[in-house]
Amino acid sequence: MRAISRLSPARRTGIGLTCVVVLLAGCSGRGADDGPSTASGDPTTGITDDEVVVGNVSAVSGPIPGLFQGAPDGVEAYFAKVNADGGVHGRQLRLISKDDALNCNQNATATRELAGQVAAFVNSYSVFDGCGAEELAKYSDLADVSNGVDARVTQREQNFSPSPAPAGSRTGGFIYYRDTFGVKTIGSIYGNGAAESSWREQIAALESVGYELGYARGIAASETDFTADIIRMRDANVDFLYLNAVNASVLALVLKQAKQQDWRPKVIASGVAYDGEFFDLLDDPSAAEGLFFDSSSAMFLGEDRDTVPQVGEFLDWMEKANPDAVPDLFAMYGWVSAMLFVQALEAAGEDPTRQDIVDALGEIDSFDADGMLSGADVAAKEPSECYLLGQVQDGKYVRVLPEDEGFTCEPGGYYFDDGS
Amino acid sequence: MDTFLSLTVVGIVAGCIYALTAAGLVVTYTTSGIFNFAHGAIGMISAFAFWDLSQNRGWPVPIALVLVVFVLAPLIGMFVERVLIRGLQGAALDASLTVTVGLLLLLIGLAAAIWDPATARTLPQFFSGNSVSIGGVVVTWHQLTVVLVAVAVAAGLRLFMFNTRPGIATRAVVDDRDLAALAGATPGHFSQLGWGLGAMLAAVAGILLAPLVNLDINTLTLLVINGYAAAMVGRLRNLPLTFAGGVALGLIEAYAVGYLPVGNALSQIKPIIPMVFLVVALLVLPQGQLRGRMASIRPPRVAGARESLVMGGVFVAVAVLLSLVLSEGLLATFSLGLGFGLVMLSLVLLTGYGGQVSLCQLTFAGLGAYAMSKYGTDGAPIGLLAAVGLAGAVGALVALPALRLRGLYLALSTLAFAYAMESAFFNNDDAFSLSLSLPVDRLYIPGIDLRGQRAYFVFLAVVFVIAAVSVLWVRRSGLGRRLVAMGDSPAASATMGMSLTRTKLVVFTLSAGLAGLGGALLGGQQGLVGPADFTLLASITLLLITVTMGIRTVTGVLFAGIALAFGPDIQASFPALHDIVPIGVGLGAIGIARNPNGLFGGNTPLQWLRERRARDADAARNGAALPAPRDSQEVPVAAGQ
Repeated sequence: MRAISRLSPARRTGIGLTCVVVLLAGCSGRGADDGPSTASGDPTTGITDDEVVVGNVSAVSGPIPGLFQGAPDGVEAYFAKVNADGGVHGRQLRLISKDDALNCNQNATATRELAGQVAAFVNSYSVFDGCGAEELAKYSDLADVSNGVDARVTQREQNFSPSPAPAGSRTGGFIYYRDTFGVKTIGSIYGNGAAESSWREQIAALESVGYELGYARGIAASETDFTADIIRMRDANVDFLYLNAVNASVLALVLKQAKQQDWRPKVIASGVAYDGEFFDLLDDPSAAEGLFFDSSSAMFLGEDRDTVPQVGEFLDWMEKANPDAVPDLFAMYGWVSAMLFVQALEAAGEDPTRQDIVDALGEIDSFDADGMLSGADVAAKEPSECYLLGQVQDGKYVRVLPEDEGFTCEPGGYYFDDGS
Repeated sequence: MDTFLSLTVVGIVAGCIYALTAAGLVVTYTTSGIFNFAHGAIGMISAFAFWDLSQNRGWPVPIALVLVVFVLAPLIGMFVERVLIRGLQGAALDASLTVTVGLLLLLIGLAAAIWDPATARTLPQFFSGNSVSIGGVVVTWHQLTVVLVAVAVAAGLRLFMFNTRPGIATRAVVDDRDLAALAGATPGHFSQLGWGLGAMLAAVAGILLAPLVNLDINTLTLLVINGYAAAMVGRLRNLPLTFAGGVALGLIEAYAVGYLPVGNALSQIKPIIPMVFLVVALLVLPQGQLRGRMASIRPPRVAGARESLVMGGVFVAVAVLLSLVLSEGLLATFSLGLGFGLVMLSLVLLTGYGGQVSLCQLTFAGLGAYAMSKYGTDGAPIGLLAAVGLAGAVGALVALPALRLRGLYLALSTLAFAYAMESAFFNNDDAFSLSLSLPVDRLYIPGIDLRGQRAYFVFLAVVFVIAAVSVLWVRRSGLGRRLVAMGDSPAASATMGMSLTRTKLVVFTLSAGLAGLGGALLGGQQGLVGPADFTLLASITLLLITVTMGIRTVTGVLFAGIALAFGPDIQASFPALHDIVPIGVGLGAIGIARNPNGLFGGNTPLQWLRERRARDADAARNGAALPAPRDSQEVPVAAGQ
């Protein structure tokens, strides 16, 4: 006390104010905003007589502009179609989409704001969705229909993915390459960072069906020269170049440089090749000739338009809803996620609550989006064992397996990675 | 042997690319004494302009090439020199760095506004379809052109700088501007010539490199970073040595990829090789005398103990009021701003007072968040201690090799550290979790629940005040005076018997520890941290905004933190402003050329009025004008280079 009394009045005031404030902080900290609540309070939040409001938080701007712009665009397109048909039980569907600008705090803030005003979230896509997961966790009656990136999102009971993908990988395509082309030695380049964990799961799946890893290197996002990697893979007799954990730009560079070095392994495969702008990254499309890709969705860029009417609907409504929108993978997921949500909303009855929507989603044990997807048990979060294989031929995407339509299934064809 | 030969060819081609990007940097530095962080951005803009003319508008390639390389690029360079650089003569390093980084952001924003970044574009190689096989490697004629141009540039510029009258005069202007002017040279003219030439070389590099990578704004802008290492081998002056440095770097990378074992951490070493090379070049090669001179700026007034405590108390009281009226979303963003403010306070000590420019403060913050995540489960206070301890210890380790470096060399060594940590630590799932994100719990204080946003905001305000008051106390202490002396003139400080080594070590450790504390509390605010939070670019942006707002004052730092936190918010709320935000930040940073203390770095209007009134009263009492107060006198400050 004597020490305090020696302080100047200003110092004492400052210290006193600080103490009071800390105490106040403690009191206010125990206020209404604390602790997880189990429900929103109003069971019909986001649902009125006229409309159902749905939220979406995606990374649209930020360091990589337009990264997941397709995510809200696809939902908007499907909602436009449903609204044109009269809505669901007489209610129009309205999407409020927020951009997290690839920022953790922004994702949490946007999720928090929307959670109090929407009936559900549909097709949110962000590298930082884990930051909003804590906000979602406060609500037990708030459905989230999305392919979450972070495990905190996907493991949430109220998360329903139209195409569940637990840790691991489908193996059907790998078996096809092995049996058809006799390939065994994998060469791979993968992105350091977030892509690495899924790459490891895929390599484990490849090894589970008899492949050997001949060469692999994790690369930084800034790398642009892979000639030394190509020389090394050539020397290691790599016959299967697997490039699933890189972005389309890196894929294009590797393909161009492999072509320049006249190195052509028996099989090159990459799921990221199926993109409307991929060929624009290659000044010479022949660099990608013969490249395989496998997918659990129909060829939504238009190749399956004749056999899967939903593909035509998707492309037409994307154009109608927003002529500038690009029908990419994330837009396709937006479309099928919105389909899944509407199916649940219809099943939830004439006067649904948020909990009714969650319950209805929990009843959907088979969903294939009218042929847009290969089909999966949404409620049980079971992955699909069915897939299609496509290939680049003469600068176009062509179906290889099944040749005409649909998907081919490989019972037990999903390798579950337990992390061991 | 075949593999070795192949890898050698690959390394030489890559090395020539580095040498070419470094050549323009060297020319600009040699002719103006300014390290141009926007060099890559000028190359990027030129490559896009060339694409626009030759591919988009269908102009003949030779005409587009001549127009971009010999007209547009030199004009950009000369304009930049005239408008921005000339005012920086003799400025402190943090100011010149901020201006060129601001220019970089401005050019990135302009490019994004003109050419939609989401659209894929390619630029065909020159002599497309023609190639030769050398040592088992197919080399295109375009790549051979890059090699030849790199050699020609290194040799030609060496001749120009040392064997021609304009070249010698240009170097003379940089060595001593006044003396050169007395000898009849026109300094502005030669400086402008140098920047025009540098921009022209940036354009050549950008146009030649774009077909080898993708025509992407960020890729082309940042490609030049690897060239820093090559430029440093030539000590930013010697072009042939720069060329040799580039080739050596290319060869080391090629051999590393070619021979290091697969499947372990060594196979991922390539991205950090240029940074290790840069640090080794900085430490091993003899320390050339970097350019720079004494600058005259008015350091801001330092608040006294009583004033800082009262203002701190008022600030916390305002924070309490705000916590009662603002929404949780706004409070979350303000809290983030306070967290950034804590990290920025660490820059006040290191850069604002000590004159040591660091480009890795968010790396220390990341280490703090990491320690809090690992050891502060459920908010255990030991986590906070670990955060400060780990960041402080690493700060001291970084300072050890940096003790013999100063100015730009020191800044580049911190850049290398930040880049290496980004690649090897933050993007490594052995350090971070598999999803490359770490949950960070909020501090637990018995009896005080900080889980709520309102409580955490007030808590952060209190911590910020304590840290700010402490920083101001340090400034008034003996250590603070030593720091300012070191920042003003290291040579004079050493002459007076001051231990620069000890002072640097202490300030690096304190600063890193404070950044670690900020990182741990920032992590608690977000709940989750990931590599994107602690990138080199984020650290540079943090420094840029801090300098722009005022790196020498607590007020400046507070506004800088809030501005940084609200940036994404504004961007997300007003999508139409997406491209305008970096342009605005760039322009703000460029404003440093006119106001080196930053927007909030000078005296506040209240302080100015109070001093003016006191002076007037004294003058009236004494019947004569008093000399200007001490803080308005011109105080020489070393350029820090």
